[in-house]
Amino acid sequence: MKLKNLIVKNKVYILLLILILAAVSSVIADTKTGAAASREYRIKAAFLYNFIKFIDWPQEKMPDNDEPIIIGIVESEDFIKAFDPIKNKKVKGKKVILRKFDKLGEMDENKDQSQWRHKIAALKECHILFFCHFANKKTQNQIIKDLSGFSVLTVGQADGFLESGGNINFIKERQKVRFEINLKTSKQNELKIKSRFLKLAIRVIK
Amino acid sequence: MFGRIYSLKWELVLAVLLLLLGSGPPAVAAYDPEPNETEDFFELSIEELMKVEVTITSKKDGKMFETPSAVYVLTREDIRRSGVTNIPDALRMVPGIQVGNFNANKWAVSARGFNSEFGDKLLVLIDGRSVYTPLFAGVYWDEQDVILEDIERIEVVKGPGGTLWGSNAVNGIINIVTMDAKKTQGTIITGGGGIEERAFTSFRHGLKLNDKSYGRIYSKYYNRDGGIYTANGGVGADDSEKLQSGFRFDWEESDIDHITLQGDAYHGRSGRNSTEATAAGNITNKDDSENIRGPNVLSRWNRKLSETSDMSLQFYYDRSARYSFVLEHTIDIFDLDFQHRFKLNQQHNFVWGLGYRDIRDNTSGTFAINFFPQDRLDKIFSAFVQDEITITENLLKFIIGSKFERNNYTGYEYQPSMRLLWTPNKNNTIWAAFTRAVQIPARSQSDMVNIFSNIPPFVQLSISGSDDLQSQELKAYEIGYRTKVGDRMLFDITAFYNEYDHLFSIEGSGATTFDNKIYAETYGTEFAAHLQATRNWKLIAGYSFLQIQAHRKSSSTSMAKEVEYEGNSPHNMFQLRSLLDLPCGLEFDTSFYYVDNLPNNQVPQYIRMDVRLGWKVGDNLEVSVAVQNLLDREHREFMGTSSNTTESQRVIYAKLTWRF
Repeated sequence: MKLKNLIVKNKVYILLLILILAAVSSVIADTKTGAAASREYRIKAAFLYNFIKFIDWPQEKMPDNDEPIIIGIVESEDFIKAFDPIKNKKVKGKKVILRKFDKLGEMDENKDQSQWRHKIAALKECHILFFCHFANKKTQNQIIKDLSGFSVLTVGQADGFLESGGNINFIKERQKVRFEINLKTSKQNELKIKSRFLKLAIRVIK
Repeated sequence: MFGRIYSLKWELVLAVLLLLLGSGPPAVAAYDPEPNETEDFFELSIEELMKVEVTITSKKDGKMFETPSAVYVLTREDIRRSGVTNIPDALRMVPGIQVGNFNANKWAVSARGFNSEFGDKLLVLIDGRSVYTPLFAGVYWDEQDVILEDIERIEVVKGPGGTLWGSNAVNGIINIVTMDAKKTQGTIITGGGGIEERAFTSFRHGLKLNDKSYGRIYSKYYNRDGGIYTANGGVGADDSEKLQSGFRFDWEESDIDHITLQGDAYHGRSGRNSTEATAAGNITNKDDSENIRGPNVLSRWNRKLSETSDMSLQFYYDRSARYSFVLEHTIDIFDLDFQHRFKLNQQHNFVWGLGYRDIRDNTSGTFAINFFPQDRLDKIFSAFVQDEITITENLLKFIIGSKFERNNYTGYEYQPSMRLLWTPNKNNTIWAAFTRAVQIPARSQSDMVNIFSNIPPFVQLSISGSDDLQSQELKAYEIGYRTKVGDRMLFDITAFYNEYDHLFSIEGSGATTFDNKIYAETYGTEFAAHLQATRNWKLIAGYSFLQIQAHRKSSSTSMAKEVEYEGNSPHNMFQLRSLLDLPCGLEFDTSFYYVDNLPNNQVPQYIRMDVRLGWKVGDNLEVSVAVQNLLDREHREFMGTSSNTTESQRVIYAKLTWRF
C-alpha cells in the first residue's frame, strides 16, 4: 500500500493549508471582478443609454449643436470597460460621451472646499451620473444634495439610494436588472420622465 | 512522424457527396442560442433589456436546474481553470464519474460502476455525433478531442437515457458541445509544454463570412510522454502524438433556420506495449503502437416551425481507423436523425424522432485477435416519442416516452422512461424517474476470438464471442433534489437503485465464451455543492458512493466477470475544487480528488491534486503554469486489459494563450 494513513493525513494538511491561503488571499482580493459582474454592467450601461430616450432635460441643460450628452460613472473600478459601448452612440441627434470619476470617496468637503467645488462643478456637467461602487455613503449623499436642482439624473444601485435623494435605482430581481424611480427628486431636478417609462419601474416614489 | 500514411482521398470525396445529399440535428435537445460576450445590448429596447439575465450561466442553469435527471454541467470556465489538457481528465470534475488513466493515452471512464477499459455503458457524443465504438463497446478516448477553448459546455447525465439517446446510454451520457461559429470570432493561439506534456499547440481562427454566416478553422497537435510501468518502474512505450484539424460553419436566417456544417480529421500514434500469444505457442512482448486516424463530417438543419414547434435534421459520417500489431480495423458510420417537437396544447409537449444508422467495419486480425466474419454491415432503425405533460403549471410535470429500435444483434428493443418533476418554487427541484435501458452486444462480444495463451501442453486460453447474446438490461429507479440557497449556494443530490439483468458473463474454462448469466443490483448517491464564497472565490465539492452486488445464475461456471463488476469501481469518491481570482489578473485554482481502492484491479486508493496558476497579461495574453498529481510522483488509477498498465505521473507544464 502506497498510501498509508499517515501520508493521507499529511496530504490533507497540505490541502487545508492551501485552502486557508486561498481564503485569506480571497478576502484580501475581494474587491476585484468577475466576468459575470462585467456582463451585469454591460447590461446596466445599455440601460443608462436607454434612459436618455425617456428623460427630457430642461432646454438650458440640453447640449447645443455639436455638444454631447455626458454620462458620468462614479467609482467604476474595473468595470469601466463595460461602459465602453456607450461611446460614440447617438441619441436624440446628440453624441453620447463617457466620463469617469474616481476617488471621490476620499474627498472631505470640510477639509478641502475648493477641490470639492471643482469636482462638483465637473459632475454638474453630466446628464446622467451613475454611482457604480461608492463605499462612502456620507459623501455620496452630499454629492446628491449638491447636485439637486441641476438636472443631473442620478442613478445608483444600492438600498436606500432613492431615499437619500437619488432619482433612479437599479435592483437585481431574479437575475434580471430592474429599476425604481423617485419621481419627487426627479421633479426637483426638473427632469421630465415619460409615463411609459414610469410603468416599467417596479416602484415609483411620488 | 507517423508510421503509416493512408490515402484519405476516396473518403473525402464520399463525405462531400454525402454532405450534398444530407443535412442535420442534435439527437441532443436543442438549447436556445445563448448571448455571448460580444452581444450588443445597445440594440435592445428597454423592455427587452429587462428580460436579459445578468449571469450568462443562469439561463442554462435554470434549465439544468429543472431537469428531471442527474445532470451536471462543466463550463468552459471550469475546463480552462482546471488546467486539464484533454477531455477525459476534464470529466474527473463531474461527481460520480470515475476516470481511470491506465496508460498515458488510455482512460477508462464510467458512471455508476461497471468501469472497464471500454466503459461499455456510457454513451459519448461530440456535437451530436456518437463516438461510442460499436466494435468494442466503449470509447477510445485518444481519438476524441476538440479545441478546449471552443467548448461551450460538457453536459453529463448520470443514469440511463435510452429513451432519447438510444442504446448504450445505460449508465450515463456525456455530451460535448462546442460553440456556434458566431461565438468564436477572432484568433486563439495556444502553446506550451513541460514534463510529461512534452509539447502542445493549437490554432483557431474564426471569421464572419457575411451577416448570416460565420466560420472557424482549427488545428491542434500534442506530444505526450509515456507512463511508468507498474511492474519494474521502467519507462512505458505509451507515449503518443496526434495532429487534428477541423472546421465549423454556421448559417442563421432570422431565428428560423440554422444550418451547421462541421468536420474534423485526425492522425496520431498512441504507443502501447502488449503481451501477445502466437500460433507457435510463444508469448511475446510487442511494442505495438497504434496508429489512429479518422475524418468525420456533420451537417445539421434546425428549423423553427412556429412559436411552439421546431424540427431538426442531422446527418453525419464518421470514420475511425486503428492499426496495431495485432489488429487493424476501420469503422464507417453513417447516421441520419430527424426530430420534431411541438406543443399540442397547454398540457402536452411532444417530441418524436426517427433515426437510421449504418455501421460498416472492416477488420484484419492476427492469430491472437480475429473477427468472424472479418467485415460486417449493421443497420439500426429507431424511433422515439416522448410527451411532457404539465399537470400543474410551474409546479408538476410528468414525462413519459419510449425508444423503439431494431438492430442486427438482438432484434427489437424498447427503452421506456417515466419521470416526475416537481418544482415547488424557483429554488427547489425534486424529481423521480423509472427507466429501462439496454446495451446491445458489441461486435467484439459477438464475433471476436481472442487467444491469450497457447503454450503446450496447457490448454489454449481464449475467449470467443457468441452470436446468441442478449442485450444487457437495466431497470433504474432514481430520485433527485436540487436547491439554491441564496444567490451563492447550490446543492444537488441524487440517489439511485439499479437492477441489471443479462449482464455479460464468461463461461467455460480454457476456451471461454461470452454469455448473459450475471444479474446485479447497484445503489448509490451523488452529491454536488457549489459555493460562491466571495465575489472572486468559488468552491465546488462533490461526493459519490456506490455499491455493486453482482450474482451468477446457477448455470454459470466462471466467476471472472462477477469479480470484475464488483471490483472495478470505487465505493467512495470525493472532490473539492477551488477557483480563486487574485488581484492583477492572477488566478489560482486547485482541484483535489480522492478515489477509493479498486479490489479487482488491486489499485490502492489515491489522492490526486492539480494546481494551476494563471495570469492574464492584458486583454489578449494569458500565461499559466499547471501541476497535475502534485502530491506524488506516480500512482496507479486503473488496470487495462489490452495493454500493459502504466502509472499516472506528475505533470508540469506551462501554457501561453494568445487571443486577437
